[in-house]
Amino acid sequence: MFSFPLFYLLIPFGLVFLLALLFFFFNIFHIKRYAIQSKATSLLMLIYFVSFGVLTALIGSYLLTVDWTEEFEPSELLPSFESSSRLE
Amino acid sequence: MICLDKLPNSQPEEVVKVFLRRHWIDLLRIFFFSFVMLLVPVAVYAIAQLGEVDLFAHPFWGPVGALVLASYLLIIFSITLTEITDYWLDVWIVTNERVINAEQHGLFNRLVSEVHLEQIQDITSETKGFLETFLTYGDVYVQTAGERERFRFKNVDNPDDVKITISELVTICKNTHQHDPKVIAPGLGAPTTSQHHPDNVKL
Repeated sequence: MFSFPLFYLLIPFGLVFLLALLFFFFNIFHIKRYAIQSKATSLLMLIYFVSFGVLTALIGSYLLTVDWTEEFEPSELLPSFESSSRLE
Repeated sequence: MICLDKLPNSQPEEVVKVFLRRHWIDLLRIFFFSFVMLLVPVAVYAIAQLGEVDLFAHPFWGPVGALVLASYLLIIFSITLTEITDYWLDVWIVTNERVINAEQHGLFNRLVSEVHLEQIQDITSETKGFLETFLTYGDVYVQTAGERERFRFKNVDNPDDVKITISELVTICKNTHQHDPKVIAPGLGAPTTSQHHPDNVKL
């Protein structure tokens, strides 16, 4: 029977993450190039970096807890949804 | 970055008199939107808990849900950042020589225009609505002699004061230039505009 590993799910997520990273750097670029020089602008950039860092760290820390090599068969997914068991 | 003391194309004795951003209520709206969007997954989780469904317990659907949540958070984060950048880069600068209008629309559309104070014919301030009246913010329109569209200072704090200040600066500028015609800047036919062309006016 056909089965697929869990890490296939990381491919679409990786695309979303890359897009978010691109937007993040576009925002930094715009601030760096067009904003008025001031302490507030420097603080804003710092907040951007810290918040993106924290979000990435939170997501990364979760991703590390999952065994992405585990394989699943499509047939076992939908029926088992109702009788979900706890991941120990 | 742009330094207020050294504006692009500035004249020797040019001094910044007014520096404006949109009112803080616009920033609050951005944070409110983000907060509401962040409540959506919390609400979904709470509803699932009420139905005694543990969304993250299943060995397959748990990680799927977590990745969807992570993607959702990244999208909300990106939208919020872009909106804040948009807010931060919308600025209006009035010097003793000119008015500079710099507006950011999203990440890929930027409009920078400037008009010499001598060209200004009419200044209008507008405050409408309960919140605008209560928090004293609104729009200021600066109309030039040409047929170009008028400048709009969007949602600035104390629009009446801004209008009065610009009016005074216009009067002073016109009087100065009447007595000293050499001071008049070249190319006063129409306001200059650069759309998405940062090399013209680097703002």
